[in-house]
Amino acid sequence: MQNYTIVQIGQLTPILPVGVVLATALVLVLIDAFGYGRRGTTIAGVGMVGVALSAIALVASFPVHSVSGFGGALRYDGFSALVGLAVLLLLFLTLLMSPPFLRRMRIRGYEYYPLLLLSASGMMLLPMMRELISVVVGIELVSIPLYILAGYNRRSEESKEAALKYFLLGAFASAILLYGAAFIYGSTGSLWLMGIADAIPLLSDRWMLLLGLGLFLVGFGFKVALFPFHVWVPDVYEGSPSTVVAFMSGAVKLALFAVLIKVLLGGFADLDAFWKVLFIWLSAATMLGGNLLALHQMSLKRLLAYSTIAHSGYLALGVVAATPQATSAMLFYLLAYAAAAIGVFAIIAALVGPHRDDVDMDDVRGIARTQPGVAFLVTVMMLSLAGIPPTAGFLAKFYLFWEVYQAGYIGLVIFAIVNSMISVYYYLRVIMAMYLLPAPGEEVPSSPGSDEAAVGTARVLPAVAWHQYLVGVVSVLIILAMGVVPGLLLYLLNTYHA
Amino acid sequence: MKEFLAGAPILSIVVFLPLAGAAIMALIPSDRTRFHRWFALWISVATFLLALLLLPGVSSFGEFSHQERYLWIPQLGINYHLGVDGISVVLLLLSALLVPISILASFREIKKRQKEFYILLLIMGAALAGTFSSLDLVLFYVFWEGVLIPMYLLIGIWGSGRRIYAAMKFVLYTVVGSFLMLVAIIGLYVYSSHYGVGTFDFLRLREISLPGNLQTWFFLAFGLAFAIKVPIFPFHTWLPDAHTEAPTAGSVLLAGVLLKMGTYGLIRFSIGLFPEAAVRFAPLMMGLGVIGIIYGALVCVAQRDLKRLVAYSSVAHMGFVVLGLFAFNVQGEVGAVIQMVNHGVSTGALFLLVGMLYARRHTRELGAFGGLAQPMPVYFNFFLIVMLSSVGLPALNGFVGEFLILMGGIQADWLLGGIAVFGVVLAAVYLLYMFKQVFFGPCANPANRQLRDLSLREVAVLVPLVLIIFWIGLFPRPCLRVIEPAVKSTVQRVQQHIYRTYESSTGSIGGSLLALDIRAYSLEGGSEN
Repeated sequence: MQNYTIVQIGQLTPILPVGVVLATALVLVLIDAFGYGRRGTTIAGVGMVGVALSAIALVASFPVHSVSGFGGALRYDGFSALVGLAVLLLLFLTLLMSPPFLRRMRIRGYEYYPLLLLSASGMMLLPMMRELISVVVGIELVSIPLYILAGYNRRSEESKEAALKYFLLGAFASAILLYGAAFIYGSTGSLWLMGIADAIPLLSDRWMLLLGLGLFLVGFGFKVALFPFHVWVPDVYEGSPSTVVAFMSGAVKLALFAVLIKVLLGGFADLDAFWKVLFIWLSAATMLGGNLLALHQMSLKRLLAYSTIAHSGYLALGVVAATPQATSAMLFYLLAYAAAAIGVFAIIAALVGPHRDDVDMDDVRGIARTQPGVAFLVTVMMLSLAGIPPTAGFLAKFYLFWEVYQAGYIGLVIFAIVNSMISVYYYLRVIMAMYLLPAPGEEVPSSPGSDEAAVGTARVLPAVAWHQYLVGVVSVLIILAMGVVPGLLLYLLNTYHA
Repeated sequence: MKEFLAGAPILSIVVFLPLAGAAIMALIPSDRTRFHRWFALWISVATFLLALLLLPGVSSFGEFSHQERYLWIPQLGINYHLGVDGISVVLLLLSALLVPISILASFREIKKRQKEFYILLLIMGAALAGTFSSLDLVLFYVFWEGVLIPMYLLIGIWGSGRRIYAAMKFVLYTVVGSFLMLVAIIGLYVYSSHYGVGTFDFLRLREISLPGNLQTWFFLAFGLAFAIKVPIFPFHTWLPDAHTEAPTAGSVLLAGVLLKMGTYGLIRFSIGLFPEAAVRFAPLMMGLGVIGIIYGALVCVAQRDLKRLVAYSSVAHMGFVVLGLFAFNVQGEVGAVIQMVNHGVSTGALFLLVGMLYARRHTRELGAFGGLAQPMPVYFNFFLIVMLSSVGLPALNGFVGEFLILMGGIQADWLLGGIAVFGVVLAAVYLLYMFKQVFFGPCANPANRQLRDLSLREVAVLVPLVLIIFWIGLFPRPCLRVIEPAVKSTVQRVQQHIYRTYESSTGSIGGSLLALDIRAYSLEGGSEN
């Protein structure tokens, strides 16, 4: 029997950081309501202060031993605290880069900032969830603000389309998720992961449970963009405001993969033969599909959308391995990915024009000449995404593949490596456009057999504002630090694995 | 002085001095091109001089000296472990020498984005030095990949013609090989953890004898990475494009050092870690080497583009190296190592010479030249020496390497060795033909009559290489003395491993014959040296 006692004050400490974020969100709404939010910088600034306070609270209450709360529905441990810290960092950087972007796109920031904070609070809560309804509610808390944010650029048709697609498919996925949870409840009689784990060995007939788990995982597959359920990603990434994509590409993955691995290990460890086979195929299809579709994209946002799908595929490898060490490797990979993704979308957000919220491969031609610093930052990010040393992306792939290899899935590792080879091509295309192709308007050297066709005039890019530049620099510093001196982070991850 | 040197981490300095130089250059505004040129040159010269200090300490028993070992990422079992033996030190010196030479050679040629150019050359120099001195497999991999992006940008930005295509092809080919090598590196760790603590340390891994089928897989995975880099015959198609389109400095480093990363990997890791599989695949590898020799030479005979001709001659020359490596006797392997150096020096010099001509005439077509001996006598003499060293004329360096390789090759397999001898003849055919086309006959084209002879700077670029050509050709002894102990210890290790397997699997007749064979070669090799 679960224990439904009244919530004690002591149990609130673990969710204090989340409370700070929620309270800040409300304060931001009020600031705007009282008319102090005209320029957006005030709201963003106050939001950043709130995020910093929340981070301080989180570090101060860092759980050396895991703490249960709310009758076992929450379990606060080092793993979820690390995820929470990463989400806060991503949120902070997003708040930092947003004001100049919104100004250029002429978007008024009434609800933009509070919505970001609300979504982040859901992400912080998710890895603590130990009960299926809470998981579903947490996912909704993450998703609903993002549906709104995706369509926040109201004058843009693409943004509206993105919001509608994201909302429809997301709602559909939530329904499937809930449906699955219902089946699981129906067969095991419990929504608590502990209860489910206890009930599974006693079941004589498992088909309803497997159906439920299958539906539940399909719902997850939609949310983290695993292959056959990925179709919404490119359009949403292309249409949504770039700063929103910067936040969600890393942070949503972070929270959802964290809770996914916790749910599977915590509640369904006995069924691992079932979900491991499922994830072998899902991850293989996702890696291959994402990478192949990314090869010939011309829009940077679409390219990164397919690349994000491919990275979900690599991460799903960690689910297949499902050892405690593999969860550390997954978290390391998630952090490496999130660092690169937020950096590159920050730069994109700095380069978009007032009429179109996207950057094409042709647009960045010759940027190595006009803005060498930006080109260097993007190069490091691309190398990290491609997994070339000495970046975080290399060590992340190395660590993850290593754990998957040790878990015995050698064929899958080789498949993933082949996929990484494919991915090098399209990341290099970005570097190629920046460094090798002549800038628009520049004279094309006409040598015999030259492979530079004369191309149409591309847009002249604006200079990158310092906010976004700073985010890019922070992102690159994190990438290099994680690639060269990852000792402390690895220590934390090994100590507090799922 | 000696005590001071004994404790100094020279290897680390050699690896990181160019990186520090590159970092300083990154902070200086790019319009100060003069500063960038000279600063890069002095940094790389200093690096070379420091690398020379490694020589006295190199072990004469084939051990690794100058070892430096620190924990790097203990959670993943990765250490920072450097060290050199006779094989790696000569390649390290070769790369440290060719970097300043290519910098000096680029003073006039490179006109756009000079700062980035010299920074990339320095980064590449650092990565190359790291590749040749890493004793931890992950560290090796990091340096190995570190060469990739600088070279991509060098070809892609400063190259000619179809430079983007060539650069992309170069990267994709390399990545295909090296990513699979990464899986094998992980696999080695996992396997070694069955024997206690898992490790990426080369010195510890080579003490573990892997089961046969595992050796085969790992050998193939490592071998593919190295075979693409060398390049061994069916994987060579990236090379002509990359070499031809690269700027002179890029071609020099590509031919001079990057190709050696492949052959160095073969002797150090493929043969050192998987001796049994290496012996099993030796006939195939020798065969591919010989195919490379003949194929490369035949393509050269038909080639009308000077730079492409030199590029394809690399395929042939590296075929010799592969043949020597897999002959598994001391002559063959010593010859292979010295041939790596020779090829780096001679082909590097050839690319420099072709680059100097291209800078004057802006064409590489053989047909556009003729009678150049008249207007450019100094150039003519340098070209003659370098060309003859590439042919393998006795008293020049090429002869020493090719002679030892052919001796070892014929001992191991008279047929393959015999075919390889024809490669030497063919090399003479295409190089002398090219030489005739460029320098002899009437100087008909008025553009050719106006050509300036070499400047002082260009002579300074070539002189060190020509001195080495003569030095190795006339007095190979000091160089051989450095290389030989390391090679001997490698060959002995292979034999020990084979012997051990032979002891344990007395049932297999084929294996025992092979083992006896190998031992017989080594005895002969030992007595002659």
